[in-house]
Amino acid sequence: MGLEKLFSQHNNCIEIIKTVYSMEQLQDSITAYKPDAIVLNPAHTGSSTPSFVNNIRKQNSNVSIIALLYSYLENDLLNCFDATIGLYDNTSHIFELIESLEEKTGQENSQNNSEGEELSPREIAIVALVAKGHTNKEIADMLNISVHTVTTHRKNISKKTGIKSISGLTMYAMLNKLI
Amino acid sequence: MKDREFTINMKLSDLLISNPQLILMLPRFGIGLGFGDKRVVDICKKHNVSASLFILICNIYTFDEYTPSIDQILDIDGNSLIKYLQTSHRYYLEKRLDHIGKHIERIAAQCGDSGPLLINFFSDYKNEVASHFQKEEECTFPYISALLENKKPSGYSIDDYVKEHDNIEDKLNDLINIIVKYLPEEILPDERISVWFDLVQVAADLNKHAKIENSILVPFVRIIENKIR
Repeated sequence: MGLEKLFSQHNNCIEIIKTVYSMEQLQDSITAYKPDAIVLNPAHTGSSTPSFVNNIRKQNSNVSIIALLYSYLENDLLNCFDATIGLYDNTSHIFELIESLEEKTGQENSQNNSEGEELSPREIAIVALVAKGHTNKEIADMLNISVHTVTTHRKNISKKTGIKSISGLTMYAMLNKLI
Repeated sequence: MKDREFTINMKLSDLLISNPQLILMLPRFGIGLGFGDKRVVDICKKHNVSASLFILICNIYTFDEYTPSIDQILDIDGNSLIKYLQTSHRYYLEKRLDHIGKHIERIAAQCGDSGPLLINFFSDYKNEVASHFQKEEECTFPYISALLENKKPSGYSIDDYVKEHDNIEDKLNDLINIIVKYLPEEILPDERISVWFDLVQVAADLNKHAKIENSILVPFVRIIENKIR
């Protein structure tokens, strides 16, 4: 599938957990894998799309649901999705969209349980780079993400660790043997 | 709030019972211990201290929601306020941070490779605080003293101070977290608990100090700037 190939080019950020071909398979996968996002072609679900999407949200309220659009879709149906990807969208547009959803999920997670939570592998990688003296721009280029995403990660890191200054993060990285 | 506020007719010993931290204000105003059961107003008179300023500062240090009225701000003796802020600066740098620095040195000595990093972190913080105070003492306070003598120096205003007034809290909070949460368990726990109290206390004190500068000093100076203009 073209979309799979495209996502795999952005392998720093996106992991394709599973491609499913039926609604039953999808529901089983949501329970089993707890994905961050689902890409769905509304042509398969037709007029039952809103109730279908609502069911997915009931199963997993944190999931972002993205519509893959092959053709015109009525606003009523469009509104139940978090975002859309069109057949003619270019790669960078799609990556930006995924990153903005990633940030949204990150922010929600940090609001839910930022206190006392361990850093994620992504955040650990960023702390190590900050400690080595890299700027947000350099980190963004190295990890293939936007500067905005790096800033969001940095905010979440500070919320979790209680450490804001660069020299403080350097000490944190050293004490935790990240560098 | 009004009914809980301290007034100059209260006994100083009662203020200290309400908020034991206020004992730290006494040396900054040159008020000694052994004041018996005298009222704030009488003790201040004896030590040549502005009682209205003293009580205003005690209220700020005790009640988080306390904001002085315009009349109270107008009532302030500007020179006393500057003297108080300067004495506080000396207290933070020469007494508190010096004392904390000695704890940090002992802890760092046990930290192996991270030790020098901890020492540098603290000395960077101390330099940051010193240069923050220095800016105020070399630019802001002389400017205010001139205003109080009815002169209006050009090229500086209290708006510049507001713009440049950077926060010095971040590194201190970082240090509080590092000392307790991130240094390895076995390193000098008693010493770390002790310095943690010192750090939390000085952080709270500096926070109120910033509040005095932002919500008393700034509006006070704006009022005189407008009078002279």
